[in-house]
Amino acid sequence: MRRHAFPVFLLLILLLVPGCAPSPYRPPTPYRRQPTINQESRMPGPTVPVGQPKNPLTRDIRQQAGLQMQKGRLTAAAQTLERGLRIAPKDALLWSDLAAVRLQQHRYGQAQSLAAKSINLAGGDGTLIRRNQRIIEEAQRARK
Amino acid sequence: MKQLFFSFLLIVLALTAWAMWNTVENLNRQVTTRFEGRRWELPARIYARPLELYAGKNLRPQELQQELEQLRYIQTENLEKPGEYRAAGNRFTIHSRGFAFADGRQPPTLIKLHFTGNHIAALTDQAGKPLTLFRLEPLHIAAIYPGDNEDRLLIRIKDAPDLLIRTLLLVEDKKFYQHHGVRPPAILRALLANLKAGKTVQGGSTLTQQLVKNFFLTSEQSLRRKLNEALMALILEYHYTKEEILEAYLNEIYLGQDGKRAIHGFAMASRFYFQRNLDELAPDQIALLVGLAKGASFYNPRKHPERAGARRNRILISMSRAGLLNTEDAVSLQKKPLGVSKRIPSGITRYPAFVELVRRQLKRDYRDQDLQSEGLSIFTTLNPVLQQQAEQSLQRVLSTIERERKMADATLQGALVLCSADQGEVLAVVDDRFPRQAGFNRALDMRRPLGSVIKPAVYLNALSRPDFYNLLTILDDEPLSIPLAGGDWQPQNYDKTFHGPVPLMQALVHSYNVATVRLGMELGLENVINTLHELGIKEQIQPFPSLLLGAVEFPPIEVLQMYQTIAAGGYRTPLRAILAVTDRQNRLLQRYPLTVEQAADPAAVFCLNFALQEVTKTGTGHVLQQLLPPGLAVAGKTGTTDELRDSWFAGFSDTHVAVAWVGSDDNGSTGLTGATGALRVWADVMARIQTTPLQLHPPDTIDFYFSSIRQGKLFADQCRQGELVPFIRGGLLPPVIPCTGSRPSGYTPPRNRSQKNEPGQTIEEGIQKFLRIFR
Repeated sequence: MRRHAFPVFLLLILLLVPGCAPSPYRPPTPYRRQPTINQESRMPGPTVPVGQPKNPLTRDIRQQAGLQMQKGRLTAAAQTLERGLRIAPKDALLWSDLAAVRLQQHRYGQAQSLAAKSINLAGGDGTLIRRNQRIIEEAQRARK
Repeated sequence: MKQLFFSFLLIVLALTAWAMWNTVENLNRQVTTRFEGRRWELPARIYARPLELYAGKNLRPQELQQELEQLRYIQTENLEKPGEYRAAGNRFTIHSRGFAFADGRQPPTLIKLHFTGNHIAALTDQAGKPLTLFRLEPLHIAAIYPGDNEDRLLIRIKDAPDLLIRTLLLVEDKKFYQHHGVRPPAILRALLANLKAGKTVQGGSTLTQQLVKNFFLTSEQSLRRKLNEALMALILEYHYTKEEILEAYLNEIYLGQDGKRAIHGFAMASRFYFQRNLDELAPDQIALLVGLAKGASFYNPRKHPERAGARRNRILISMSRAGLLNTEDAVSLQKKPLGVSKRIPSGITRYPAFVELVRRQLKRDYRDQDLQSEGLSIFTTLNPVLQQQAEQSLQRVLSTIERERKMADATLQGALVLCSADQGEVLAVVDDRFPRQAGFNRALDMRRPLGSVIKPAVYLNALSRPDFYNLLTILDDEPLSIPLAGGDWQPQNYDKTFHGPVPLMQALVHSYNVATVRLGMELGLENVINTLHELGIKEQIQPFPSLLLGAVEFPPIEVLQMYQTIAAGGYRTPLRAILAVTDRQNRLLQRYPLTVEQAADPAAVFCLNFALQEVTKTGTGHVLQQLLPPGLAVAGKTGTTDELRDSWFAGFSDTHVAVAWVGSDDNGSTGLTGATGALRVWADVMARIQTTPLQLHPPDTIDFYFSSIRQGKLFADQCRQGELVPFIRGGLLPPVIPCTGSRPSGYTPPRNRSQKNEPGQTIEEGIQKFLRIFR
């Protein structure tokens, strides 16, 4: 089947091009770049990080931070996440979790910045982006 | 008369009793005040980052070995004690030391790991259960000593090795648990022996008296002092338990000297002589330390090894007689060399430039007095392995350049600073090509004009206005004259030619001065200055047009902050050298948390970084393609100042940001450009460290278009030729040109998408796209 694909493509070109030459000044459509990072993510609550990232190390660190948050040990949770970020500095989930911790600590400016950074690294992961947006909205509401 | 005499005697007796009472009361106050309060001033100890171990980590076996050697681990087969490891090929078993980290204590643990190639394949505990993450204790890199220069590590009596205590009591005070501070028969015996010999040959002091002598009194030899010593010993024994007295002795006794630094206590002495913890010592080493209590200078094992050896052996025999050692062991241990490290572990840091940065950051929060006395632990970000590699790179590359250019030795000087890209943690600071010599800290204090390393700020300001500028906006690189108070300023390009209309990206990639100045003037100097401040430059900047070409002077560390913000996609993280501070009870006093500020539009920074990556491929930094390992993508900018005085390179991989400067201390011309000097140092470091190739993460507001960078135009949609260039969605787009028929010869499909651009493999996509055009 694949063997015939290219002749079909050529045929289409021959059929279409002569009858309808494109204007060279037509604004081109953008070429969508694929996300450069590939992360599975789930939408965790804004307070307790959960989820199943592929990297077991990140998963364990998030679990540990989640437990610390549940016990109200927010400084310890932040320390754990920062330790994780030293190992996986581009991990958008860890940045998002740290934003969630800052939100809990009422450090709203930091919560917003960290969530924005997480969005920047989320590589089109809609769930994670929405989670971060929610953190930003909550931080903005709390600041008012 | 008789009555008068008795009255007088009574008065004399009363007065004597009153004077004695006063003396005793005075001594009592002295003893209790010192003992109840904080007994010792303790230096602040500064630690490097701990080495994190986990499966999958990029680490070479020799790097782990290097770390273990720096931490003074001993390679052995038995692994009986913490501080030992076994290496068999690519398999390691490590018995780690316990350590109180800022986030909790980690007990001594036996771990196993093996390598596959240059990464850790598996990490388990002793039973073979996988460990997610484990850290070795951090390297102690410096201390801030008290005014009296006493250096000590406190230990509690329950942590002291039993053999040490038993040997100490055997040698110094067998009846310690029986007497009340003084032993008159022993004093009498010593007195007689000394009188007979005509000099001091025997001491009658109990351990309590020795402690009193060390703690409260001078070394003056007088009857009055002896009396005070005895009284204070009695007072001490009256108020405190034997354990408390013994613990104080273990920590107070003077056991050595290193220049001005006095070594007190057995825990510090163990580090000083054997570079090991007290609980890791063998019996012969314990015997040697106990022997030093009698006279640390006289029995100094580094200066007088025979004396020290003889005393150690006498103690070993005593130990054997007392049943602390069996006879065979005592005999074989006497044959052992002293085992004292050749290198004296200096109290002077090996990392003066980095420690200076730490001290400056500490000064904002702590008084000098607290740093010198409170026994704080300071956890820093220094990576000793990177630091060493950076020092070696600077030294080696400068020597090579001098040799190649037939310059006199040590003509060139240099500095290099390195941090993590997203956390802004300072990992290495090199302020001198001979980094152990203390002096001017070029990394922190040297102010030199930046040259073109400043240009990204100008271009970022432009790209942050997507309605007016994009990477292909045509700039004018034609003669320019700017009227100034002192006459017209006519900027020149480095190659002394003008390049006419050039796309913005090309002006940055090839570092065209005239186009940059014209752009900067169009943007407004104040706006460019604002961008510099946003990127993290704290100092005031005067709005002179020449600032657009880097005629402003900042130290390398400021440039590092600027490039950290750029490397992190516009998210500024204030550079940190300290992570946390704990007190002497290991309680967290202060944390220096990771903070992030969005300093610039991530989409604009993405476009800028796209161009900065191009600098290293086809621009002024293209030589990096030969200097770096294949596949190590980076971005950065060269900088050269007038008459080739300063050579700069600032740039980043995915995980590391580094700034290198090369020049001469007399500010003379070196004949080096950014690319022929600092860039080579930078590349040498980046090639040696474990870093990750740059991978730019496009924000959601970025669209890519097939473009002709040379012409500054977009190709019509069906062409699919040229290069993909990023643009901010909704912003200004360049004019569109028709296909040119054939692909430019230099065409290389962008990374990650090369597959998609191959017609043979994207037939379906191609057809869909074609159909969409004609819809």
